[in-house]
Amino acid sequence: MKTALEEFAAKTEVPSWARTADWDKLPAAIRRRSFFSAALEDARALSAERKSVADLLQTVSKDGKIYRRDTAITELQAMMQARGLDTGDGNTLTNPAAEKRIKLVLDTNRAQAQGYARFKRSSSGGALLAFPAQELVRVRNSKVERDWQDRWIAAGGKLTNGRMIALKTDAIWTNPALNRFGTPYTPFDFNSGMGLKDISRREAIALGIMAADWQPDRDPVEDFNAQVEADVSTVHPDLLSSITGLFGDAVSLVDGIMRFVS
Amino acid sequence: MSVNVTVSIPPEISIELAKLREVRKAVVEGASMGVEAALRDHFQYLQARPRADGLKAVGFWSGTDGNSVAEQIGDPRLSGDSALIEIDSPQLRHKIDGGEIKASDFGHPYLTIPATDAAAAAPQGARSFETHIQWVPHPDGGVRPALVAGPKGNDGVTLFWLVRHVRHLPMPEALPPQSGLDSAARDAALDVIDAILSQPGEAA
Repeated sequence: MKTALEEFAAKTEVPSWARTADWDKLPAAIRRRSFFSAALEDARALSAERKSVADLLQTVSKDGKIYRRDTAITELQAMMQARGLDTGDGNTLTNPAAEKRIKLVLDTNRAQAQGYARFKRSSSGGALLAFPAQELVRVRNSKVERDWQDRWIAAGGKLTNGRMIALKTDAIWTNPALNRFGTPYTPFDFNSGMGLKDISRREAIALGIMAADWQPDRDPVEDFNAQVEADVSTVHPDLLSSITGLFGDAVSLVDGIMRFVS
Repeated sequence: MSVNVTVSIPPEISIELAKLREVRKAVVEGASMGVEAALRDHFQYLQARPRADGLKAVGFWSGTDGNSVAEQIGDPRLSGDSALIEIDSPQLRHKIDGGEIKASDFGHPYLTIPATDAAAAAPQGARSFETHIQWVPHPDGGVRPALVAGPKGNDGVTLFWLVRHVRHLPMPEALPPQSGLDSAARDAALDVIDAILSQPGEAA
């Protein structure tokens, strides 16, 4: 879990009034580097959520017992209530103290860190040569299943024998029409049951996804990590101000372009 | 008296040697990915099997919320021609080894065994519900203590059975057979070699 933890540890906490729709307007490069929870301005509460995700990623033990998600939710729920953050709206996503909301924060952040770690090891070097393609597959049943083939096609994808397969170097994986977070790894949406299956070189050739002499012309991991510039001209000025203030010297903002400098 | 003759690799050969070392690393990376893919396929297969208690699956083996066994597969640690893949899952360890789990080990009087799909999927287990303890008839016969939601009496919904301890038999099939993993490693390694040989300028 080293890579997952490193990816998660590199995030900057951004307590903010911004709701999910506001965050969605931010480029993936910024969201990836931020730890936030929609409309949660309480820095201590946000920090506690972040610590819980880190502890879960590390499989830490507390009092001789493995720290589990159910314990994390119970503790965070009590903390949110103690800090007066329970909106009284019950178990809804807009209530920071709701079980459903806390579970979503923990699950999404943990899955993203793990998704990045898997992406990093599966999309470069020998792993990329052996498994140059991947398939979007359902790995968990959902109560209401989204139409992923629709999203795949809307993002410019082609179906291969009805399957959603593309090379790992294909831009489709970061297309927000497919992945709402704009990242080339799981999860692809909140509470999504979709995952990735690595497709071997021999299967990709047999399916016509690539020619036998295909060579990766770039490294998807290097490409993704090289995304240090983002157009933030449409982002709400208050949110932008919070981000530049919290990231400090790590970012510069010139003419609506934010650039990460470290 | 002996005579020593120094052997040194010419610089141009050293460059080729360095390339070969990179090739070896790439082959092991590919083989590791092959094993990881085989592990994921296996966990997905286990996920698709019906649960022994008949309840809906909740993503123990494979899932997308960061909790499943498949999501705990870590980066391989490469060493020469081999690699070690760690799956950071105490739950998987317990499945493989089997053994007894006692409520007292966790400082609790009882363990909770889900009786409904909602109970099995509850994010906080029994803490997700308002319940009371009640003795209720068990499907296997007799009456047992349970956590029941709703009114006391016969109109409540039994969510969890309460037990002092459970014993699980070892589950050797929790991991795929070694022969399958070896085969996955071999196929992936051959794919890497094939990809490298198909590069322009390489001997085919």
